[in-house]
Amino acid sequence: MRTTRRIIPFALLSGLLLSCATEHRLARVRISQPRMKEPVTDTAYKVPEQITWTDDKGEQHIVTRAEKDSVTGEDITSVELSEITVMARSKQVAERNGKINLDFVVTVPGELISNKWQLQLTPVAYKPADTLYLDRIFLSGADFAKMQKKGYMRYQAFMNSIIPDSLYLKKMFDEKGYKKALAELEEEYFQAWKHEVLQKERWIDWSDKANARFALFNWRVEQNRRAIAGYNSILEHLPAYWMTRELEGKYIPSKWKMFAEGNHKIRTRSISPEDSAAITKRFTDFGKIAENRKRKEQADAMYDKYVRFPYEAARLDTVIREGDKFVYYYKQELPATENTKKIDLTLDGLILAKDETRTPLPPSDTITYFISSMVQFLDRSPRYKKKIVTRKDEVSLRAYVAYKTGSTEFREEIGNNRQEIDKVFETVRSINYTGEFLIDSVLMTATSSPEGSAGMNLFLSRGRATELKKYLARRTEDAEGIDSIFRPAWRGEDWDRLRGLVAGDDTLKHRSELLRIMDGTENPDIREYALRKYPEDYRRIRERHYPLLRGVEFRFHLHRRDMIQDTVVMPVIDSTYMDAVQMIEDRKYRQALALLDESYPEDYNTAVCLMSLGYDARALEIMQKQQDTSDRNYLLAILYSRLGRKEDAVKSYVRSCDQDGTKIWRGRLDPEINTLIETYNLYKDEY
Amino acid sequence: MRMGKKLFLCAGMLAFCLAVSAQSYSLRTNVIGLATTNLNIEGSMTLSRKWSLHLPLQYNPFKFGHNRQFRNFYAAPGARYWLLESYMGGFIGMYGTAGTYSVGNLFGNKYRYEGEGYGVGVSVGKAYQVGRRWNLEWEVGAGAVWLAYDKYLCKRCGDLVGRDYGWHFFPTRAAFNVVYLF
Repeated sequence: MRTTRRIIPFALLSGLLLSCATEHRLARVRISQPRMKEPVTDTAYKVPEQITWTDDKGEQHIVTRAEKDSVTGEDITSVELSEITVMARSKQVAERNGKINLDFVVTVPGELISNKWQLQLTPVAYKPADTLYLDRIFLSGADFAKMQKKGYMRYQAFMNSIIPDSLYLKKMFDEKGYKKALAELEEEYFQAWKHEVLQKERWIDWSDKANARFALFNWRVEQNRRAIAGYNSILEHLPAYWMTRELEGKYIPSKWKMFAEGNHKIRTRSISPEDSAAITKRFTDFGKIAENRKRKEQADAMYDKYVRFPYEAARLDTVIREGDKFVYYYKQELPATENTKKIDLTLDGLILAKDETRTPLPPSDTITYFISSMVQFLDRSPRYKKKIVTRKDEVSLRAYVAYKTGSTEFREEIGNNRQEIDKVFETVRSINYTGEFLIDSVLMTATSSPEGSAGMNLFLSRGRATELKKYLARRTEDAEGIDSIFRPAWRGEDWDRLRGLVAGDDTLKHRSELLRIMDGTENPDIREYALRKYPEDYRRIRERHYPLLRGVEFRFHLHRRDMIQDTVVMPVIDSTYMDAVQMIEDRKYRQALALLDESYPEDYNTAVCLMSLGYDARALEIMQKQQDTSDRNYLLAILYSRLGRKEDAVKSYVRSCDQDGTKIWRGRLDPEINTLIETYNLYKDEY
Repeated sequence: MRMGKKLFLCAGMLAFCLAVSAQSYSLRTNVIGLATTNLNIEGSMTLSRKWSLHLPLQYNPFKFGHNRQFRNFYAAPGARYWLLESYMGGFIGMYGTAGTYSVGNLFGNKYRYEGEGYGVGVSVGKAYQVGRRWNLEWEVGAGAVWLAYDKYLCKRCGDLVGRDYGWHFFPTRAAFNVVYLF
């Protein structure tokens, strides 16, 4: 799996930038791989200088730590020459914990950076199933950035001119006028009240005086009448002799009439919510509100108008000086999904100019990442589990056969009798069809419900069983077979089954009492009678459960053809295990582990799953117990390497390579093993 | 004399009425009239709670220096419609008038007029209750009067200068009355 190398001239590719007449040579944005260097996290830790061990064949091995090349570092994947860049076009990355780390260097030549535009770079990862657009990089020129900012400021200025809801009261509403109007109305109400009070006082004064006068002169009229009483005097026609006065009706001044009626109450009116609302309306500037609403509605349009270059989510958005070269180290973690063996990465570029023209950059280099994964070491061989098969088997079937009361004769036309017996023949046919089983015998037990006397019921069920056998013999040609295989039996009242039905029916109100009666009463007839103590429940039992007791139970005794022993152990493919292996292949490690951990805690694949999730210590424990194969030793080497046991790691790796030569090449792909190879300069002649 | 007889009659009637009072009768005198030396009294009787009959009489016998005089005697029978109740509140009055007069040397006029007059008029006014039996009342009225008079020079009882008659329209009543009810 050597990295392919290709030589690409640096400034060869060009493109038309703008539509103007002058041709502009477009430089290329490059992506390249960073120099691979394992970060040293623990400086105090020193790898052993020399490792010695003896293999199975008694051959002694010695490996020593390699010297570092101080000039080029440990590995060179990118060498820059004048005008020519030599690039590694592909890279091996290891999947760990279900994740893949992609890293690369983006190099932008100075020619592509201008004050007048923004350079937008999008790394695109092509997986077999889908395409991922990674976070973008924006490189803005100074003028462009200024313009971008200015757009936002203009939009902000517009937005600031919109009066927010919280300030409505202050801006849209004449509070001073409102308060004044409110005070005026309050005064008006007060004056109205005062006026009424004064009027009432005046009315009281006036009516007191009037009443006093009327009382005096009415008394006078009375006197006058008394004076002429008995005489036939013409004086009686004078008003002084007949006219009495009362303060009522039209003789009350209309302005005081309301007081005279007695039930008038002087209202003390105060400002109501309606008054307040009316005044509020009068002092609210609806024109201004409408204007403000219009502005609010325009907000989106104004955004589009002013913000021509909106800020967007990006990995990096920076302003860069014209002509500067730009180099960025880009690192991205991606989830490993099923069958991700290879990821192609390219860089899409776009120049967004101040005049809103968009010019795509020519296609960039492609980096191919090959992904190495633990999954490649899965043991895919099918796993079997044992199943015990017995020679004898049993099938039972219940036929609900109905009879006329007190009769033992089987008649097809009653109820579902014909279909019920067809079920029996169907079962016989299906047993014979596969040929796997042979029928030894069929026990047919007739049962009845507890109605009537137990003795009678036993007698009836006996008769019914024998009658049914005769009927079955009539229905088939093989009457002899029926005679020898079918064995009639009878049980009479089927109390055991009834007890089970009652115990399972939680709609019965007195279930526990009923069960106690059934268990405690010896005589079946008394028992049946005792159940009637709970009429509601008894009716239900009678309607629901009794019919199920009337019938015939068929028990088929079978044996397996060609089988002599009583039991045989048969291997069967373990589908649960295979499901778990499939889950590991699909990178669903946690789900797989849940299955494996429970049923196969000591399995090789369980160890693979554990180390894929990073549970290295547990994985090592299991792996050590596995068979000594090349794959197992290779994985052991990885685990030792991860756990810092370099010596054991090297031993395991070399052993694995002895068993299978291809591991020498594979070792380069896994960083853990690669470190060993580099450190101890293993197999230097092979590469 | 004739006047004395009338006064006596009035007094008699008053006495009679006092005996049978029931806010049915009233006597009043016009204070403005008294202040201008016109002796006056008005008797009245209610007809119903809205209507009343009135008979004012006025007599001015006085002669002053330089033959200045406003002598008159007249009666003005009339009726009033009371807006609320007789002798309470506002009213509209209508009346006839008849009398004799001798008026001279007033307001710079150098003639004296002597004759008789007849007329009709309407008035409005209002009564204010001040006590159980007492009212104050104002009334103004105007009307048409037919006057016939002899015109004399005023110096002493001078010579007849002219003689005239005809209809005149002018205010015929201005009163501020003190009223007693009985």
